[in-house]
Amino acid sequence: MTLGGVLRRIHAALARLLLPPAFRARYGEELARVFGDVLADAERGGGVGRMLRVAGRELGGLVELALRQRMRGRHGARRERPDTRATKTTTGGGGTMGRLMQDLRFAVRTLTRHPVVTGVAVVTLAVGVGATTAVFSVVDGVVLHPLAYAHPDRVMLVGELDARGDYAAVSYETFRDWQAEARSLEAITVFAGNSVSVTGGDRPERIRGLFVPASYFDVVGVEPALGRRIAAGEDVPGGPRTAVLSHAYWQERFGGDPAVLGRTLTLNSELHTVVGVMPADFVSPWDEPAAWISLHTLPRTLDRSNRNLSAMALLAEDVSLESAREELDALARRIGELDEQAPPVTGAWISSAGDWATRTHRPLLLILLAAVAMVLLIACANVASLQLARAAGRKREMAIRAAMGGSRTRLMTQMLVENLLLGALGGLLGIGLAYLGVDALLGLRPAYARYFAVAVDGPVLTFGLGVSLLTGVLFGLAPAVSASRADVEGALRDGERGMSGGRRAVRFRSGLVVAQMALAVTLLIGAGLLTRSMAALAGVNPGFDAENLLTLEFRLTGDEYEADEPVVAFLDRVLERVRRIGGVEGAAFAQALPFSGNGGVMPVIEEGEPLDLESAPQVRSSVVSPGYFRLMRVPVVRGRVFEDTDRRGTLPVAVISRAAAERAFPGEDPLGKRIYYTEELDAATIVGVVGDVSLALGAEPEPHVYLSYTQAPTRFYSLAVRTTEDPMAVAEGVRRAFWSVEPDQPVWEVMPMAERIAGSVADERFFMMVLGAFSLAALFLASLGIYGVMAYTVARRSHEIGVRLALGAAGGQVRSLVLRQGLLLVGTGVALGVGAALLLTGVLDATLFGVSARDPLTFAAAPAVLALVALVACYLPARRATRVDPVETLQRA
Amino acid sequence: MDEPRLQEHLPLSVPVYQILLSLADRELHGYAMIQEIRERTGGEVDLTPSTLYGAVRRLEEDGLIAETEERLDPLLGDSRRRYYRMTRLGREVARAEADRLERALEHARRKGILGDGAPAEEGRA
Repeated sequence: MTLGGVLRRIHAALARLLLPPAFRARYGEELARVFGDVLADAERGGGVGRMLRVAGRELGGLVELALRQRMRGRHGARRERPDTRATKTTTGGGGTMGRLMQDLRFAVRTLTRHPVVTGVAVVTLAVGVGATTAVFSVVDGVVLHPLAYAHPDRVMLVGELDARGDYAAVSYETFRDWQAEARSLEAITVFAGNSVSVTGGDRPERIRGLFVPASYFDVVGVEPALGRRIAAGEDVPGGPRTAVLSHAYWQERFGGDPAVLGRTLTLNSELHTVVGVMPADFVSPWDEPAAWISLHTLPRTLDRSNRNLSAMALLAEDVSLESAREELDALARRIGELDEQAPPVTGAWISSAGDWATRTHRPLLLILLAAVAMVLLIACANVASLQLARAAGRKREMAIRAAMGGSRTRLMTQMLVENLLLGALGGLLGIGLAYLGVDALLGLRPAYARYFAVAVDGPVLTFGLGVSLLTGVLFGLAPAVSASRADVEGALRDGERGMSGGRRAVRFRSGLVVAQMALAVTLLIGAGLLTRSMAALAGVNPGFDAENLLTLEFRLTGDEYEADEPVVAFLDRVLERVRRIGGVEGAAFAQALPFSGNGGVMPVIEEGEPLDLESAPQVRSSVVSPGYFRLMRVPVVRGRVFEDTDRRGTLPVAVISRAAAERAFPGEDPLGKRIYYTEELDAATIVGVVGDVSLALGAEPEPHVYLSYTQAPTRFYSLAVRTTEDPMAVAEGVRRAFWSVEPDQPVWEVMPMAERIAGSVADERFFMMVLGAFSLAALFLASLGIYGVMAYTVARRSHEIGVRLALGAAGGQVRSLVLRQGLLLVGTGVALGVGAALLLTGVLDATLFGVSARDPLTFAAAPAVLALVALVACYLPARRATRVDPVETLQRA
Repeated sequence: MDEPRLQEHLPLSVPVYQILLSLADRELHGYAMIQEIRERTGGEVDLTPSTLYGAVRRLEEDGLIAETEERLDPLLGDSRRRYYRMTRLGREVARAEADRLERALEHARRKGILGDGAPAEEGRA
């Protein structure tokens, strides 16, 4: 077969395919012959190259000829002017842009022809894109850009390393030394967050305050939007006391009045001048301060021995974390050696502030992003399936378009444009939904809004748009490829019933359904595990009775509470007043209430033993009132608890928890032992052992040492009030009891203990609820998917079903025929999903409590639920199969 | 032949005009037309078979050319070719088109676009 022969055959085939019969009858033979002549001429004149060129021109011209002739047939004979440029195939419009506009117009017409199907597709996509964008919004604000500082990648948290190699806060002196000597740091600052009493108004108030020196603003790189920062000199003893307010607090307390500058506020009983207001979008991941306050207002901050300051630094440009760590390490150790009194320092602790801020949130949020991506994939699969079904129904149309000169690429482009349009519509709607989604997510986890800037902003919108276009391509590819493979002759012959290419489509759609089922099962298993974990957490006994318990916190500031006696007197009087309130069963104080996040640690060293701070067991310490254990229903294991007879001047006594007894005095009887409880090495006698309490749900109970407030009073307390009814009912009464003793004493975090406990697992609950919502969405979408495929299969096999019914098959047999097919899909999908889950649920290990990541119950229940729902979705088409009229289907054959 | 009927066919596209010209003094079959046109125009007009037959169909339908017979072309082997000839209408239409083109040329000459570049003298017909 020569090249000429091949080309002639191609020409002949194309002519046969494309030219109208009338034209072909009259001129077909001639045309073929002349083409042969031209080819022979070309071969003689220029060889293969010339032949191919000539053939190319002619074949293009042939297509155009066919088009013109067919159009003449459609619109009646018109004045046709054959184009001299007989090589270009113009199907109308000017070039690429014209073609695109044509495709777009055509796509709009096609989509509006089936508004219901289009609507379902758009909404499905919108939900998928919206949810993904919303989750990404949170990921962007919390994980990717957690710091609202000017140079977020250069801000570091720094500290010292103690003898055990753990992080230790720094003293003011150390900070000043580092500030003077560290070359790798452009700026360094310290800060301490504390509750602050605000008095002088109609009600005493408590706000969260951040005590900082002027250098704080150098490190964060953000200046107040109104007024100025705390200046140098306003942060040292003797200097003026100033404060910069947060935007929110300025709105709340001063109504956004610009004349707030220069006004005074009484903070912790000291007068402060308001000098500035921070910008509205300035947030801090560690805290939610209402005000930044002169550092020296914080008592005892500037004592060398006081190591209670967090340090934050701005790396110098082009300095790496590692080189900064080296320098600070050496510095810290050198400075530490100079002071023999201080606890030993083994080095410096340094971490990127951004990493530290996100470390607890990152794993959780990234898992959620992966989960929502799965939901999006399931949604795309549904839309792809819908489009495939539509494409199958348009086979005849596709075939004609192919005959009219549509090359395969052209057809694919047209379908792609249609699907991109669908993707764009779904995406636009989805971005609108994303705004709602972000609100919902922040509603479930308000902490994200408080400490991070989460919003649907530029990068998030770009992400959303990108996702919609990508989904358009993803789910559009399969139908486009399928449509362009149009079997022209078969479709033209079969007319609308052309399902001959349908088998491949059904296989592909079945594959999609299996994938959907697998993804849905994985999500359901994940959600199931988290639910069981939450249930286990909820069932944990925290070691005390948390029901009907009202709690609040307060701090005693002011010079009158410098000495111990006034403190004890105050606490006595408040207890007495509170106990008299109706609905109150009892009340007690504790420095560190469980689930309050408060409290300190102390080493347990027996009197007379060497002062080895490094190896002494560290325990939690809490100062409590005598009735505390009885109120909280903490069991007494040995000995006794505090009584009213334990007062100032009597034998100092201590009570320890069971875990403390085991940790400090293993195998011994702790009763009667004496341990140091002050820096001055006063000793207290252990008189009792009580049950352990957890400080966090699901955590191991920490060892505690308790002291009586009558003997070792501190200044910060929580009050616990046992009520007969709803704890919040007595809240106002308790506040007033406080103010009857001390009118200027603010109290805060007034809430039932149950709320505190729930707050402590807010992360886990958020995780569980969002993943639960995603898995339900996946379940719903996957069921729709399988319903669609089964309905299509029944329609496609209606002829076969008609035959079966005509031959006497019972309805039940037909039904089970269909159900069996559905079961196969469901079973395969579930098996794959369970396998995937076995591999993936390991990421949940860290978050799960009381249930393993391979929990058999969950792994059995989740697929069962999915299988049940999916079978119901299959049942409807199966039932419809039995209603097929055999006569009708046979007639249509 | 009345003017309006002739004007209906004008202006002629290049392939149609050239085909008519090629049939002006003889009868030709399809391939011969392509060759003749190519030679006569020095390769400037090189018709593909599809373009040719698209034009031929139109010319036949409009009655400007007609089929004569099928006979052998000694130069092209032993397959019979269909020959075409120009009709009277075809000749008139071709002449009308040529006139039109000439008038167009004259306008160009008068304005100095064609010729030696100088505007024509007044009165030159």
